[in-house]
Amino acid sequence: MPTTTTRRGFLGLVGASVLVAGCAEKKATSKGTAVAADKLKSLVPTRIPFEIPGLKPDLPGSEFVAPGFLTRPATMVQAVTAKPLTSGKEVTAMTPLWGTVPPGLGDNSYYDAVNERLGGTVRFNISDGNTYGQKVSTLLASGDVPEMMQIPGWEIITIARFTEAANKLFADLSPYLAGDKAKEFPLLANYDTAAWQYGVFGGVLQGIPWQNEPFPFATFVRQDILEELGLEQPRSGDDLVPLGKAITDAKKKRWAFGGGMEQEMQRAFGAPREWRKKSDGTLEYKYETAEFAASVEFMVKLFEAGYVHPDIVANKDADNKGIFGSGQMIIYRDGPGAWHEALGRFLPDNPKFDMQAVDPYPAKPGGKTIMWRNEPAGMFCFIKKGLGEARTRELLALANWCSGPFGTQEYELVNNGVEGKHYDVEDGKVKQTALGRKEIAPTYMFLSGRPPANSMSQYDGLVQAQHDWQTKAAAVLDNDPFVGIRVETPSKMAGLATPTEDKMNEVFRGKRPLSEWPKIVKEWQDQGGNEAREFYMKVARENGRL
Amino acid sequence: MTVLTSRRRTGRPARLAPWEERPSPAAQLGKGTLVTLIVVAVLGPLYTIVLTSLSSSATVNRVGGLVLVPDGITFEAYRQIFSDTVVSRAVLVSTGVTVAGTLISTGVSVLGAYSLSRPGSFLHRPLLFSVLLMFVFFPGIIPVYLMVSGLGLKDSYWSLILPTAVSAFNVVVLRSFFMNIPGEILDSARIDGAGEFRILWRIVLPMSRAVTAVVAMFYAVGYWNAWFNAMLYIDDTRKWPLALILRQYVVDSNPLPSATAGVTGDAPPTLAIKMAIVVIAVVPALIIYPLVQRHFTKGVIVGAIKG
Repeated sequence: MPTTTTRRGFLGLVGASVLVAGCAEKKATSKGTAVAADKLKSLVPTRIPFEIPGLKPDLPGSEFVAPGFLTRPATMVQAVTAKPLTSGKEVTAMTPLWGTVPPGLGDNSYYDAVNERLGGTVRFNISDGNTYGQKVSTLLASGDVPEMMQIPGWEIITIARFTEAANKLFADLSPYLAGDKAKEFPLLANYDTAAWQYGVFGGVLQGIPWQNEPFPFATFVRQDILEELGLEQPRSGDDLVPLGKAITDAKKKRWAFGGGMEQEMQRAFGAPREWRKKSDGTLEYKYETAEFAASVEFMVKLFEAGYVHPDIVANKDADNKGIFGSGQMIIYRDGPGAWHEALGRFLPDNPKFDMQAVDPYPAKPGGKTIMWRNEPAGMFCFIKKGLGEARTRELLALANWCSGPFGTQEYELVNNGVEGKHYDVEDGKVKQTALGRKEIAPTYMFLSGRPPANSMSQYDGLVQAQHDWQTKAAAVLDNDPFVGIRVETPSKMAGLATPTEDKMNEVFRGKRPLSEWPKIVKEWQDQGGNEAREFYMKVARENGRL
Repeated sequence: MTVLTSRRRTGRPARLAPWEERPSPAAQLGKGTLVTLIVVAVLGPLYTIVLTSLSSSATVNRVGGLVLVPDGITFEAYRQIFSDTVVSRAVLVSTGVTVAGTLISTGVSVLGAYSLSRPGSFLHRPLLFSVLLMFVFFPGIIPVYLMVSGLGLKDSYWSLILPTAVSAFNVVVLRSFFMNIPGEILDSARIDGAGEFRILWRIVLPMSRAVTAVVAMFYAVGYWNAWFNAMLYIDDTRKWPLALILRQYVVDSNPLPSATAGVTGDAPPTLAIKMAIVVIAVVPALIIYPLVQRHFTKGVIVGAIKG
């Protein structure tokens, strides 16, 4: 057949494509940037705490402890009297969503209520949180960004040349917010300074930060089941082994431990969250420390003894929450938000369900206890560049409105919607209505951030328990050599975490011998860890931290 | 040959080929067991999904995951899903996109494949080369995004159809089938005065029902399951297809970022609701497959070995 492509021609075509692919530009990744503490101060707002008249927390807050409210305030204060949107132009915004999809604009009375209060319409482009990074990178590469865009920090470190793209596409906020200029936006000036400093990318203030809780996670236990078995919470890592033995009973489908315990053990043994200054003036990464190696050895023991739930053994990413709620697993590690989420999910069907956070504990009895310090901000809202001063100010006013802290009408409307429609208050407790469950999704809240508040008083004892735990954790907060410096993690180093920790998980599960751990650390060093160390040491030296 | 001879000696009917003979009881048992295991492997997960979708949240929380043993049946999950316009609207969107997309894709593929199957047609070699080129080069997400955006198709249902309207694989499968139709039949039609479109419509397509049905099914399943384009191009959640809603519900919050801790007060959707949506998404495929199945083997094999 003379008109068809020959086999040789086809193979040539394939070869050509491989050649072209090989010649393609090597994927550029972020090499990391750092901004010194002194310069940062001139870029970000001066913090002016926002006092809500008549609202005094029952449990006082401090730098690392959120103020606690044992009961819901009888009245909420209006923090912003003027409507922030004045131009009549629709605002376009993109935000991530984990969970159910709300009805769209026009079919959603929650959107209508908030937009009415804002004085204009915000049109959300909601995108699946699990694939959000792919959409963000496509939009950044195409330059087609909405007026406001929420981007989580864990996506930022995976996006090639993010800082370059951000500097090109998003507005510099310093001219509107630096120093005392932020007085115009009092709810934005209410944020923690460290969180604002995290919004600096490539030396430019660009992201309105979502303030993180200061502690990344805790060990949680099913207190009701521990009491039923006559057991007590662990006071050290050593207690976990006898607890594992006492709890685990495969015939009763009950295992002691769930996923993520390895991070709690790394902390308990005293490994740093990331970098630590050595006595010789150099830096060492957590993987390289003796404490980390000891935690790996300890975790192997828990796995070998059969104390870890088989779902977690089979799949390190298996769902912990379901097996914890069902009582098949009693002790696991999770973020602070898991506490109220589990109470909301399991209490209605099991009134005995009692979840408690274990006080920070050391590996050995009497040992030194530390608590890792979370990054000050985890997500950022960016404003598009080139919108003009008036529009940028209008969008900042919108972000300011959305930043209303607990105790304000703005907070209530953003989080719960309209009372009597989206929620009811019974005995001082907020109960979402069916309409509220259907229509309210995290949207407006992602246009800004707000200082954390310990306010889930609808769950008996939760506020007090959280306050007590935070107070104890704050007392043992570990020092990080980079506190106060904005360091953007080099992408190469961020990309090494998953393969290294996958190998570590194989060690736990007996797929690799424990003796391979030093080899795994060496691989990490060779593949980019040493390069990252040089970068971090340079940053530390330049800031007088070494 | 030896085997045949020896079997003839045993007195078995000579007209049966070796592979048509009745296997030994042991072999039958082995085959039966294997087939049963395969059926269980296929139906087991389906059973669990359907059962979980029909279980109460109390049952799901008690077992801590997928339900294997029934403990009361409730249609609450389905009631909740269909009381919410989001899912029912998504079913309509998916149905519309699948029907329209399948018609367009199959139509364009048939036209393209037919022209490429006729040697000497206009720009035959360059076009054929371009189609084959599509096998090895993916244009990349960003150029396609810019094109869709530039054509003003963002937030339009066309963005769910046009970027993936033609699959080079399906065109090549169709072309291989069409090339196998004897040229004499087409020549006689031409002698009778039929034009190319009439030949395609009256002769080629009726002779190619099997492969066309299979290709249409490939397209239909592709459109029904597609979520990525919708994620990229559709900003209005009212226009989201079921596959994207399904992803949103099922692949949720794992891990729910701690950054949102303390604010999102509501629990994630229950497992029963997630599984109910999986059932709703799977049902059309379960209905369509048996209808097309008889064409499936024939169509794929013919397309695969000819040309």
